[in-house]
Amino acid sequence: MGRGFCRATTELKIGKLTTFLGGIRPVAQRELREGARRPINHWLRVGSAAAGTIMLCAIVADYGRPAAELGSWLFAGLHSLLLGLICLIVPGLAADSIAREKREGTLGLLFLTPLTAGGIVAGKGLALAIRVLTLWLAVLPVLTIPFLTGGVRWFDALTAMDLEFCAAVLCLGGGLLASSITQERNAAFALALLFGVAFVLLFGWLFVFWLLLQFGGLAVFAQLDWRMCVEESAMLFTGVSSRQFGGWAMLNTPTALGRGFKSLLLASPPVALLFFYVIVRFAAHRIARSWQDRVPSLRRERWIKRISAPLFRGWFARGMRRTLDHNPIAWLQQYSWKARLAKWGLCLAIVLLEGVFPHREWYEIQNTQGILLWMLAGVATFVGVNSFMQEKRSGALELILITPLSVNTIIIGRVQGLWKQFLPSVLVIGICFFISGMLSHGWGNSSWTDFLYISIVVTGSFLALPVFTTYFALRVKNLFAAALLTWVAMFIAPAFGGLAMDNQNASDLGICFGIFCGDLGFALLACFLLRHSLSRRIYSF
Amino acid sequence: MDAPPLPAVATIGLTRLYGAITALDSLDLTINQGDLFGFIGSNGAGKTTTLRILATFLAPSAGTAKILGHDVVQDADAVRHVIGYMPDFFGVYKDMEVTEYLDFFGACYKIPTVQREKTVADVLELVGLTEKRGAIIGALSRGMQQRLGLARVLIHDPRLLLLDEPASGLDPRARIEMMAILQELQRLGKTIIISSHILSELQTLCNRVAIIEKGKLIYSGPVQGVREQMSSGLIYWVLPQGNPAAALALLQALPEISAAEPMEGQIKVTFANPDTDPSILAETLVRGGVKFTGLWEDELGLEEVFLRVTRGETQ
Repeated sequence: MGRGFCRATTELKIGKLTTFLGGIRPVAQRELREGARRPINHWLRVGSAAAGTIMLCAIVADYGRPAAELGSWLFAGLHSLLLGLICLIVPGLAADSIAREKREGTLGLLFLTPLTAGGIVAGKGLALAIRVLTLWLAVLPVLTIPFLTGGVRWFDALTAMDLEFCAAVLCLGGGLLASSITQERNAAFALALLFGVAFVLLFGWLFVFWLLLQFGGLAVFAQLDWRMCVEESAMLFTGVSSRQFGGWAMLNTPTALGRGFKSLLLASPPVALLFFYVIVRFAAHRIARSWQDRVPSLRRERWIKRISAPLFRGWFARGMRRTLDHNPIAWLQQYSWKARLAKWGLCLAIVLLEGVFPHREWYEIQNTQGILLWMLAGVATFVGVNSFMQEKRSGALELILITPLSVNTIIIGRVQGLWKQFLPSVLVIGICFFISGMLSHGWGNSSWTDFLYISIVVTGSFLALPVFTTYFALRVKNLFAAALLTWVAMFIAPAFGGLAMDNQNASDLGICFGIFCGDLGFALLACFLLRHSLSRRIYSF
Repeated sequence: MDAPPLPAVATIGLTRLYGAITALDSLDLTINQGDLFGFIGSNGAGKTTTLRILATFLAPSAGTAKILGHDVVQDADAVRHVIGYMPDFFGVYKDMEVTEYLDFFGACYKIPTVQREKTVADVLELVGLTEKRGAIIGALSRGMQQRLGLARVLIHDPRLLLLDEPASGLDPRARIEMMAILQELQRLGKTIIISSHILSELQTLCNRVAIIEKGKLIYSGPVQGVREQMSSGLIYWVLPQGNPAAALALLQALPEISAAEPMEGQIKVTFANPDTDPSILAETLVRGGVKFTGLWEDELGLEEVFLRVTRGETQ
């Protein structure tokens, strides 16, 4: 009887699961077919393999250690790159998968068929997982090089695969969760990145906590703060310490720590998959509740109107009118309350993060500003690319192009609008940098020099970034591809200038100046190409 | 002696290629000032391409197009000041207010701030959106967004309006209102080119039409002209007074007639030869002592004309 009861319970559970995942196949099939026709997927594969190759060349060119360790260094570098790409690309791929269907009204059509919410989310998840797998396979040939070079053990390889798998699953879950929550593209991408990185970090912390618990018991936690955990988990995830790459093979020992590590490695993928399943269920629940049309809430509208009203209305209105008269395109970047909220919300977020990150040592202060500047660059790229893309999609760009506004006015207006949007945030970072340096470190000669160098480089990037985003937003159809290309340009332009000065044996200041000029030179080139494209009405739909 | 007025639009050999596809093939078209001109064609016939070239949005592969004497390629800036282009999509910023949207385009057309406020109010009144001036565009219905598009087109008081499917997707009342606005604009002296699939409306609205198929112009001229050109001269209608059976018997007995059939109180008469003098019908009925109150030639609708002159081929 007991066995029969168990079988019946299992069958019931399987039946429930099958019902929940009903229609997973047609959704996955459709997603894969559609994805196969999108050039972005092809270019992502090519780009990932190219990034791996560039990373390999960069490590080899800069390598000054014993030849026997080269393989392990290459492996560590590639693994870190892959983790970074997973955290960046996978949430991005998943972010708009459900949100777009909601926006375009096709989600409702799917719900009118016998498909279930679970089937839709899982089908999309499956298709995305296959796409991510193809990305990983594209980088695989590059990953074999460290093996051939020697110094990489199978234990290291399996550990790396294990961690990459877990990161990919968690990021995919983050992307799907974000996509189910909102239907706006911008919000979906921002949330997906946030969730993806947060899940991976959380997973890393849990991993480290569990390992330390195995190693030293609860007493270890008293000596830890969260920053140390971030460092430890980063080390564990990438296999790289601040001194050298040790690999994970050193943990392949019969000690308690080694056993704990191996058991964690075995447990991680099922735990990540279980977490993914929970997210799929939650996302399915969300879309099942929200796919039908809803009347916009009047109370919400009124509330938004109240909180989004500017503080000094008369002064604000005059300022906006001046901007509109001067350059209507620059006004477009500032008119909405969302843009204003993003502008000042970003400043607030930076101040908060400045308070959270460590500022004890000079290198910590520099690292903090570096992280914040990279984050800001990411947001600026996304906003810049998206603003032009939206106009292209809605057709508003065509309407602007048939007005007597000159192409120069359109370009200057757009770039000026983006500068105005992000200038306060850059200034906040600069002021925080200055003050924290004063308070924690005291400004010496070397600090002043560092500050000057960083300021020159950041100014160059700040001036060039909006031009790159505007150009790629016009010429590239896909938002993600445009953002990636902007970042490629953001790396190439300064590297070009910096290397040119380095070849001239220039001083550090000279190299910084070279970086600045590289940025501006490439920005001018982008401006010229942009002008040409807009004048001839050449842009991608 | 006064020089003849410039044509609103004059194209000579206008051609546009998309790779191997010829979207427009040597289009010669002249539209006079003050015309309400209907541009008719199947999907993919080249209507939108023509309008986009005239709106300076697309460069022609060959040929020339002039708007009020300005070349659309050489003198594009001057052309943009005199035209208003309404594409077949809305092109709106959904999170803007109605007045903000018009204010923005007013600024794009460099209308001074003081004048802009009045202009926005005027065009909103003209299209009947005054009550919605503070509404968010995303919350407007399709018909209202269409009207807003028309208001945008009028913001800089253009002399030529290029309207691509302005009534598509509108309900009957909104369509009728849109057509009334267009008639009012014509009365105000604007030249209007309107591309539409709703031929019954163009028939009453436009004074001239052009029919285009596979990028080639098939007909251009007055609406009545194309009807007459297409009319076979074979079918006539008789409206008898009293008993239609007697009239029907008389007409069926005529050797020149191949068929006479009653239809909803009228008699449809088909001649065997189009050269037959139709007065024979009146003579026969009068001689037979049958009274009738109407006798007229079958008039083709624009839809029927369109079906006759085109073959429904697309590119």
